[in-house]
Amino acid sequence: MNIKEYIESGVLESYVLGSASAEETHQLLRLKNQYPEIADALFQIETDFERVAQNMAMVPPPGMLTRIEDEINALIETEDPAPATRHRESDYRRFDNDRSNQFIEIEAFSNQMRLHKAWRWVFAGVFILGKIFLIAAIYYFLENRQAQEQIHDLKTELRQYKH
Amino acid sequence: MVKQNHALLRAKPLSTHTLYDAYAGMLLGYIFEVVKDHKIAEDYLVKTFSSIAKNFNDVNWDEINIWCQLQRFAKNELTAFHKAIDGYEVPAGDTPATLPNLYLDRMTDEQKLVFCNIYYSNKTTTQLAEEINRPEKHIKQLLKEAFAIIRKSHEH
Repeated sequence: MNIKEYIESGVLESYVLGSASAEETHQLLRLKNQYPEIADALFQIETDFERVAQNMAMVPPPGMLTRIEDEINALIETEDPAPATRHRESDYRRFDNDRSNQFIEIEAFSNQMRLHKAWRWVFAGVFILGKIFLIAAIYYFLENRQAQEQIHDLKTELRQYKH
Repeated sequence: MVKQNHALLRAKPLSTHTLYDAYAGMLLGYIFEVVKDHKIAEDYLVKTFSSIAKNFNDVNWDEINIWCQLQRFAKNELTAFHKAIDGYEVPAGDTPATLPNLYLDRMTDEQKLVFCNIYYSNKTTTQLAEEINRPEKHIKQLLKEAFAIIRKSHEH
């Protein structure tokens, strides 16, 4: 295969802009891993692509991040958290061998548990029931102690009458 | 600037928040170029980041070009907008870009037509080749030339 001709064909540019066909994409991903020249050319085009976007960048208005966070929170509230451990088969298999250390690990195992908000009512109910049982237990304990004392007094009185 | 973004992403664990810090301006600029309205562009930016957050764990961020991925998220969100204006063709010499752009200004009308229709209007090279009745090979060549101009503009 003529690598130079392939790079010059414009298929890399088409791929970066997301306009390549599935067949072209599949071929490019395969060739990218085989030929470092293609991987380097692709990296260069991606960088150029980013420059275009930076040249047209606009400063988001104040409060935009809060709006986004509110929208995301609303999404979390309305949807059950989906299992998120599976990685989708990516368009790219690697960014660049030499540049792979530019990136940091993005997801670590969390020691925290996420629950649906509906559980808060369950927890509140359990808490209230717990309190009711505790008060009832104290009440019956005191009642029982008082009854025991009364029985003890009555027994004492009964013995005195017998004598 | 590209390096600044990468440095920013290296400094903190990658999250929707760090992606916002590094790329929100670029995404907003891109979306604005498509929709031509600040309010609508902001709404689409919110939708794009919601979609990013929703699919965050499905994307293999460390093996791909982040901007390409983010731009595809924006394109997906803008599909509805493109459908609404379906049939609109960007005429040569009348690019959809409204902001001054040092790269587009250096392209010929034909290069701009191809670049903008693919970049902003979400058309494939095959679709565009059919629409303007040119061979797909020619479209790809024009796209390549457009990127060469971008690179050359940056080097100067």
